[in-house]
Amino acid sequence: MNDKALISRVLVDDDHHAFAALVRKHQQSILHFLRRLTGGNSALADDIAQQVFISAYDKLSTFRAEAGFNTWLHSIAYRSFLNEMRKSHHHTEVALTDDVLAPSIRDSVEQELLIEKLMARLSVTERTCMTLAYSAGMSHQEIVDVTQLPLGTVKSHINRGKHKLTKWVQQSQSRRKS
Amino acid sequence: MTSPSEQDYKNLLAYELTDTDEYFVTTIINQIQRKSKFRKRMLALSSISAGCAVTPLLFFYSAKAWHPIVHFVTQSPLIVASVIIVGLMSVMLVSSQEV
Repeated sequence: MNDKALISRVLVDDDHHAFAALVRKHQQSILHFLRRLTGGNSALADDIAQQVFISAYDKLSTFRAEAGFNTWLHSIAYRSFLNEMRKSHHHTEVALTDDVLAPSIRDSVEQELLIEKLMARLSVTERTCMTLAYSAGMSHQEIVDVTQLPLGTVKSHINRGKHKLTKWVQQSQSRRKS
Repeated sequence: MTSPSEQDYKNLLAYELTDTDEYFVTTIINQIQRKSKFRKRMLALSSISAGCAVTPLLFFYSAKAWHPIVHFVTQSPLIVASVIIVGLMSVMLVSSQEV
């Protein structure tokens, strides 16, 4: 069953099973998106993800199908993350120390940790745009819908993010070689 | 050194999607059900309260006898004030309730 059919079942019949199906379908992408935004803080990402789905349930009647449900959920996740940062003054940026650069990319878990650490060094907007573009596979227009940033700003954040990541990954590789 | 392609970035930043976390789903559905129950109870309580308030008013209105209400308000301002304060406190409590 597609998202639209599930959403209408939730709205018309208050069908909790239909909403559970929506959560099952989108939880992984939202959790991963939030883990990237929080710099690998899984506990915080899980908490925000719960708020996101509960908030989505409350606001489901305001959902307009112009953007996809996944894009809409990501926009709630992004706003919830920003609110959480404002409330708790979390700083997810980490210094580019040997600890970050040292792990060799031996398996996917280590690679994921390394990527999370490198991503945490980007600014929040760069991190968001990069994650949405390359991890969630969104178009630039969809990223504009999620972040409410102008298209040109989104593009420049992506370019800056790419430039920084490339530099850090190259540094990481040259450290490992030496 | 060649600059990385778009696909290189996609490969680098790809999520490794794992299985659905059923505990996560259950937690959310439980919270939603609790919220729904709470709302239904509040709605029922509000309906009962409104019914209790409106019924005597309708009774006195149909009997064209307003003086018992006027008498009650003027003679028992303390009771009226207490009812208003309790009502306001209940509204505040309900509106600040985190489920």
